[in-house]
Amino acid sequence: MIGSLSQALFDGLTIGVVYVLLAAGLSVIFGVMHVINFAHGELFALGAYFALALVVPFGGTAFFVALFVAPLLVGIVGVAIERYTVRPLYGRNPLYHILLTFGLVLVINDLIYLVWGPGSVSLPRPAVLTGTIDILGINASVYNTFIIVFGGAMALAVWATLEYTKYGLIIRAGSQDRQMVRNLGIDIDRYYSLVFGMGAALAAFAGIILGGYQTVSPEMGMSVIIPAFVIVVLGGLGSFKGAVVGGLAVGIIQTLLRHYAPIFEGLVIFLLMIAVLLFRPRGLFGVETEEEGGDLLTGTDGGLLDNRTRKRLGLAMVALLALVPLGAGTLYSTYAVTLMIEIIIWGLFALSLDFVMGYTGLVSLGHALFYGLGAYAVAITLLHVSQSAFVAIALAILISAAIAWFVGFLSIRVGGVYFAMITLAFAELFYNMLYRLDITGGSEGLFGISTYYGLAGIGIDLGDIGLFVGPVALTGQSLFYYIALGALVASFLLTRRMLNSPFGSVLKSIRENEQRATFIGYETTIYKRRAFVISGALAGLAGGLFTLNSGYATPSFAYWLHSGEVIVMVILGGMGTLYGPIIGAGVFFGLEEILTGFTGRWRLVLGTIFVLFVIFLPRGLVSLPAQLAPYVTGGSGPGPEPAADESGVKGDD
Amino acid sequence: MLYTPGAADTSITGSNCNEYVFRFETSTAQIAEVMAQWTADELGDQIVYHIADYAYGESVLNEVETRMESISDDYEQVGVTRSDPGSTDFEAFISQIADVSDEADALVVGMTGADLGIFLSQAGARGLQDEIPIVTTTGSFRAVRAGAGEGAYNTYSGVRYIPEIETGDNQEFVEAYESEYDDPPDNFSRVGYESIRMVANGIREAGSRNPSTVAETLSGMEHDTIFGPNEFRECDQQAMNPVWMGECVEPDSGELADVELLEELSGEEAAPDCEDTGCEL
Repeated sequence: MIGSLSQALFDGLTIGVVYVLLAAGLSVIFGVMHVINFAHGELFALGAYFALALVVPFGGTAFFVALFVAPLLVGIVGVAIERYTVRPLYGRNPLYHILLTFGLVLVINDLIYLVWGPGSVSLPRPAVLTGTIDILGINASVYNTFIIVFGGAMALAVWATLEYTKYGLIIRAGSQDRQMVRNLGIDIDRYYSLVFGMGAALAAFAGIILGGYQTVSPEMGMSVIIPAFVIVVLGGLGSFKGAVVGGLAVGIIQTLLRHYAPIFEGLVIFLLMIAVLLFRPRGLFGVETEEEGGDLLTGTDGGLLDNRTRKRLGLAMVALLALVPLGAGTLYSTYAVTLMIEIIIWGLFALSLDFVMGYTGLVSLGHALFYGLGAYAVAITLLHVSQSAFVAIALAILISAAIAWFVGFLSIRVGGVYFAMITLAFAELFYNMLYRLDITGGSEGLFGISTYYGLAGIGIDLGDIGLFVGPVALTGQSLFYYIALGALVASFLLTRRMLNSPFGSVLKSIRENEQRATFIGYETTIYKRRAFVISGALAGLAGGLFTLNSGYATPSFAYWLHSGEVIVMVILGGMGTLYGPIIGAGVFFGLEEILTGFTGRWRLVLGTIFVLFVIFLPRGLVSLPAQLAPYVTGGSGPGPEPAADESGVKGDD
Repeated sequence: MLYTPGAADTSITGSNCNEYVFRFETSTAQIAEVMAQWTADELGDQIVYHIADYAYGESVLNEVETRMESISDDYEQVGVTRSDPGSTDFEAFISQIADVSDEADALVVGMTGADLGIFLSQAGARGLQDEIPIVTTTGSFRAVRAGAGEGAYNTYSGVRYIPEIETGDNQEFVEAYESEYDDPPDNFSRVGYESIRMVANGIREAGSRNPSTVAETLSGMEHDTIFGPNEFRECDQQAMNPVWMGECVEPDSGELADVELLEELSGEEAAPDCEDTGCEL
């Protein structure tokens, strides 16, 4: 028993040390620059691939050279990322850093695919690091022992640098109070690139040693980024000590659970993350950080059209969309209808996120939870309760709303990046549960679902009826298209009506200045929770509609990348407009459709466009006409993009 | 619509079969036949399992167990460990397997893809291959061998396909593939190629693109394939592929393990009896 426990602790320590190195960079970058770097996992993977490029031609002994050269190269990449993409965003709301680095995830990940191809590759290790040794009755591989010793030494070196050097002193001071550092006459901005580069190099170092331990694959960055966030949140955003304690704790807890209670393996760390965020948002060793200034930039100010023209344009768009199924099979392939259904459903999903993000400033990084919930609610209802589509969709909306209320009740008490993190944690918890529960069909999901449109056994199957519009027969998918379009239009009108009501005015006031809204007597938490419930219900409706049409639900619906993708759509189109995100969904899938004809790596192009949008056009596509107007008409246009509040970050020298 | 999947889960042409699904990929039931026979003959009947905790892993466990039970009265399952699909750290499982390695004759691993590559790599670093023979279902896949590196050496695997085999017109396929892609084809290359070729044969034979007509024609139709004469047999529409048992060995040069074939079962020998498939067509 003791032997087995020691072995488990040793195994946990091995992965824990890698986590420490990974999380340390992430945490220090946040501490100094308040940048939540989603691309940290990709820099980690990039380190492993650079090492692979060095080791494969020269053999295993080049591993030691790679261990120093590859992090250096990734460090340079990190400096370039900070200099050219992150820096323009300083002073904006820190949530834009999340969005930017999410775009970089897409770019770097596809670049890895492009250069090194898919699949796992073994990173050859030098002969001296192979074989096994016995340590106090524990059977350990030499390589795992190397990870603990060398990784530990590296962590110690970072700690000593932070603790005993002038640079370390400034970085630590900067992570506690940047303004104070500036007041002391130190230009901390110069240190930003250095810190980002060092963090990237540390991630690369972790990637190499983990690459030798597991394998090197393009997915390795995606698989570590979520545990890395858990560690940083547990230890405390910005705290090196927290990264060490959190990294080791998560490594050991995960391994012990795998040994003794595998059913809880994927759940416990997320429950811990949620608990920490609720009761001690700054984490075990984190310090209170000043809330960053900078607003979320909505697309509402950029419109050129008056309300009447906009309304007419909207009606024309709906009329145009209603014509799509009529030409399917004759003017174009019936696939057009399938594609448009996907766009409409994701447009609804994006609209649901916009209602909470664009109007109350709450950035949910876990909205795929509600989409997945709606999909599974429909699947389970149709399989076990009733085959009525109406009952299934009603339950999907109700259940999604109820869970959104619960998640909102717990989450909305924390704000900003902490809210983003807690929603991510809830979504990951749900995603893991989908794999484990019998009722959700485990990893296979639920499929083979059929439905009818009616109640109490009386209704119609869309595949069995046809509606004749002139010479065109509408049936099956084409009929469902109108149901999806109707749901989208109804949701748009409903949310727009709400936003024009006193309730909507309060939401907007929260977005503009929550403190003022509180001062004039509004319980902002309650309003935000209500908005979150409506948003969750609409996301559930979107997921439910997808399953209703496709007849299946799988855990991938709730994958974190989908939460990121829907944010991409909202930003692409224009946040805070309701219709912008729908346009964003259309552009997203349209680009995918066009680009996949040329390359399988379409996310590279999409990610690049998204990064450019975040930097240069944060108000989205809907603001483009107003931005271009001065060049076309020679007039003054809407004025320049409100400059970020630079006072928060620039030196005072 | 006709569906020719690349997944090996037995139920696709078993209990979940339907008249529009035809599978050229070798099923887990077929590969388990050769694995179980060879393992019982050469290694023994005390088996410990490690599987990925999803349909494929469970399918391997069930199929190998069923066959081991029918082959040997003394068969015993020494233990089972299960990892989540997509896991990257198998140390805990390797420790548990090492603890029972004295009682077991072989470890059967029911995983594939990156999971299996990483498992073999970490097992190799811990010297598990020296403690207990490791038998896998897909360790012979090129992608798995590339991921496992030296961890693949001295492990055994069921073999669905390797480019070296000289059945049917396989060598013509290999030549054409290599001239197009500069790489030898892997299992999935031949599944994609022959699935499309067999469906095309069906469309040609039926003289129609109507899915129902093509499906009726394809069922039981004779084809010349890379495995020689073959068919999607009528009772479950599973291709009657031959299967092999192989060993992954250290190559003369480079790191990618070579596959040496140890035993072969013909399509008829490997396929389960129609009445045992659970498919009712």
